[in-house]
Amino acid sequence: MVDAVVLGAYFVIVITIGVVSSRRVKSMDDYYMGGRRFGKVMMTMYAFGAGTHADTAVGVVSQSYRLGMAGIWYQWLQIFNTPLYWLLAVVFRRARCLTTADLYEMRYGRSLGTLFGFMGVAINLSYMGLMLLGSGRLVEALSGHRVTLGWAIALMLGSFVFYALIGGLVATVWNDFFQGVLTIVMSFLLIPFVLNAIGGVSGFQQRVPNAGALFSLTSPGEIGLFWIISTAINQMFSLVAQPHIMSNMAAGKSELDNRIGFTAGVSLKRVCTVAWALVGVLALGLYQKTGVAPDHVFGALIHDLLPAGFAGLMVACIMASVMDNGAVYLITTSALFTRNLMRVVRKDAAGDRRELLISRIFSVVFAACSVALAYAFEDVPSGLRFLWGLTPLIGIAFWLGLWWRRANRYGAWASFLAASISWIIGVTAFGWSGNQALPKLIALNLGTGLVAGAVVSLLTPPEPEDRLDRFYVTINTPIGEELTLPTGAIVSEGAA
Amino acid sequence: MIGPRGYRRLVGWKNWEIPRPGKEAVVGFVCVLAVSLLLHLGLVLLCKLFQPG
Repeated sequence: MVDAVVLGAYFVIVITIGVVSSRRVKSMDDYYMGGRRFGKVMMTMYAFGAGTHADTAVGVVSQSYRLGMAGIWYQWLQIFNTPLYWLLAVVFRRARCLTTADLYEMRYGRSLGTLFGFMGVAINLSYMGLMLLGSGRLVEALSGHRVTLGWAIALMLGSFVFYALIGGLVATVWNDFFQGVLTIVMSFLLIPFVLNAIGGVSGFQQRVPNAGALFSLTSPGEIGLFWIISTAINQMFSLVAQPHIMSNMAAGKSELDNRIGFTAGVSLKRVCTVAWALVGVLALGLYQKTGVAPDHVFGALIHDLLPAGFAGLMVACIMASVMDNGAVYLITTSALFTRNLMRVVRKDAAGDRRELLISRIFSVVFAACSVALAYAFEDVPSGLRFLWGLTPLIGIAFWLGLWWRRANRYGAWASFLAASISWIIGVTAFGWSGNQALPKLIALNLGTGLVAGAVVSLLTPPEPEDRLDRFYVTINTPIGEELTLPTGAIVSEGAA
Repeated sequence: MIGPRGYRRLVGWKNWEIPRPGKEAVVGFVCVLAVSLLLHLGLVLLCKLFQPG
């Protein structure tokens, strides 16, 4: 009863935010970018909330339960790259684009914008499927299996479609703020309860024979130094290709707001990751002999250890997290569809209002497709590994073209095709799957993609000088300053 | 053709457009790096705390 009251109260707050926010959506920029009016705290919580959902916690707890503290690397990887994100945040903001596909188009031309549009939809579908699976498993475990995976997914789907349709990015960012605070509290709340249940640190060491090995940051045969380095590099190519990264890095009021917001959000998530990994390992002291499935451990801990009311709060937190992350995926995918894909079949430009309507209809179709994918993944970690293979395929072209003027559209296509073919060969012909094969697969994908991109670029004609000048001047000029090309011509911001 | 531009490049190599980072970029980069290293150190210390002996 207490759980139901807490759950109900939380939903009232979240839906009120959505309804109030919907009044501020008057244009495409409002819907996709929240009018670029968020400050440091909101941007931090947006970056934290958009990168933190139930499957993130379920995945880390699941891997730590199976491998020990080494399982933390499933989410800890970004910490190596975080300083680089400080520099990257301004590139996305200065690009003055609504979608990442627009950025690819500005650098390489329309064909790459369309390619990113297709890849972006596929990537977001996979992220959404994974999120639904992870959250569904968590709700399943939290309810003591009274709510099945199918019902949990249906409930979450309904809530975030509603949320994205009414509010756009403003509602999502405000929801991220509340959900973010709650996630941080809930992540650490479980630790004293677990420690109490197993008799503290000494109790854990007595209950689990190999306690020392479990607190090693590597796991022999699965997660070693090569795994850590290769997946960290892979994350750099993956992050820039995530379709929602444009709003994540560019929806702030100023460059400093974007920089602080994104890096602080990413770092905050890693702090919570420590709590999840610790809880996953300590759970061995409770469930080692009971045979709880790794994906169910997080939910089982909350169900078994937290007092009445907290389980409801946790379900509310998960639902809110799924609502706003699902909304982010829906908003960014509908932006890709209306701006970068629809024009392939429709040559005439739709008006702002009509585009908003089409975007909202597409969101519903997209959400339905993601359910099918939720059932396609074997478990959360295997779903994450799939995404680590898929997302960087299009990210290679970003890094090739960011600083190297000679990279061109032919090289960008070659990098995508070579990496894709390598990935398929690695998985099907060589049978590379699971943790052990992941570093080899990454080395093959990224290696062939980078080499193919560079060689083909050098062997084919460069991009027109005018396009290159516009691109580099745009990404290196703060918003509000004049865009002056090397020829002396001044470009208006709208034309950039 | 690489003519005058509104930003300064880090290296003078042809075909490379790496911008020279400003004060905000350098200071922020170092601060984020320090936070990142501290988080790593904290994680290592936590693991030591839970290891027997």
